[in-house]
Amino acid sequence: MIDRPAVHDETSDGELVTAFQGGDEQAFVVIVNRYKHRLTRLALAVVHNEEDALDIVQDAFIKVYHGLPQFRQTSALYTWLYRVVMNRAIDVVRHKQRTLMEPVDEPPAELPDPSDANRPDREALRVELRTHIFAAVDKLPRKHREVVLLREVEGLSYKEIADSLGCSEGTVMSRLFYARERLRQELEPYLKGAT
Amino acid sequence: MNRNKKTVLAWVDGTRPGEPPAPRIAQAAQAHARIAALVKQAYTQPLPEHRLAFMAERVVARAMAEPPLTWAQRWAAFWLRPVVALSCVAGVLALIAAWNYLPVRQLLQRHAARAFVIYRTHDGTPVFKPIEYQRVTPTEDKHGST
Repeated sequence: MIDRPAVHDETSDGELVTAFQGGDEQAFVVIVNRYKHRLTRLALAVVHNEEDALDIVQDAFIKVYHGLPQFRQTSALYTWLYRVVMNRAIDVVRHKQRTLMEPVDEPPAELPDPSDANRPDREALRVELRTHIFAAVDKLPRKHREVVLLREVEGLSYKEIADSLGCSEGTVMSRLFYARERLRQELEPYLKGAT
Repeated sequence: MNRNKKTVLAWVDGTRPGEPPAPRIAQAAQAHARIAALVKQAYTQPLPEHRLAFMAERVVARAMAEPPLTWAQRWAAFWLRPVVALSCVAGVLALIAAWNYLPVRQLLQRHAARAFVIYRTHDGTPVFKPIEYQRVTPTEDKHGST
């Protein structure tokens, strides 16, 4: 019997991958628990639909489960995970736009904000602004949208985004600059009133 | 990427504290910072925690129940994608049409054309001279010259 070190929440990604490749299924459970929140947030940011986001993340993890035995660890695990989820999410959005089953830019659920409970006008304004922000981000070219979401939603560093998208840090910075510039133009009328 | 863009990004990131940049850059940096904050705020949504519970167990169960696609299945899935298939068919048809109806073939195959001239020298001797030249246009005039 092979004696393996037990995996736990603090085990590094690299060690988890090695453990999984050695036959330790528990390592995969730790990977899923470590990344499910971040990946769901990312998928949700792209598809704006809870059901689709959860499906995307599950499908991505299944793909990763089957692909992990061949994963060579030349790049970080999370960059691969982000790539898989982002690609799948964008595919889903594209498919929906093509089949026109339902509008992709449907108004999102409102953010619960107890402090504004008695101010329906302000809440309505905030929801409207949010809808416009989503629409503006969705209108960005794919490469720019990816960078914005990975940066603003996930808070990844330029290096992490570059690794995830397979491009240079300079390219990431350039795309982010242009994306923000474009968003600034799109959201100009709302910027003045927004708080 | 130019220095102004880098400066704006650094100001938005908060990694460039200290002296304020030129007014135009400061204005852009301020607008970009506002956009970044708005986007961040807009995308901060509560996650469906109750639905994320046991995701790992569900994923493992599904992954074990669904074996990975074989090479042939992946290939078939790729070709079944309608857009890919239609694009390929359209591309092949366009190539066939171009080959048959456009003078592509003649342009690609410049045959050597042969002709001859007969003339008489000043002392009256007839000269016959064969000529070989490259056809440069696909059309011929009424005399058969190209």
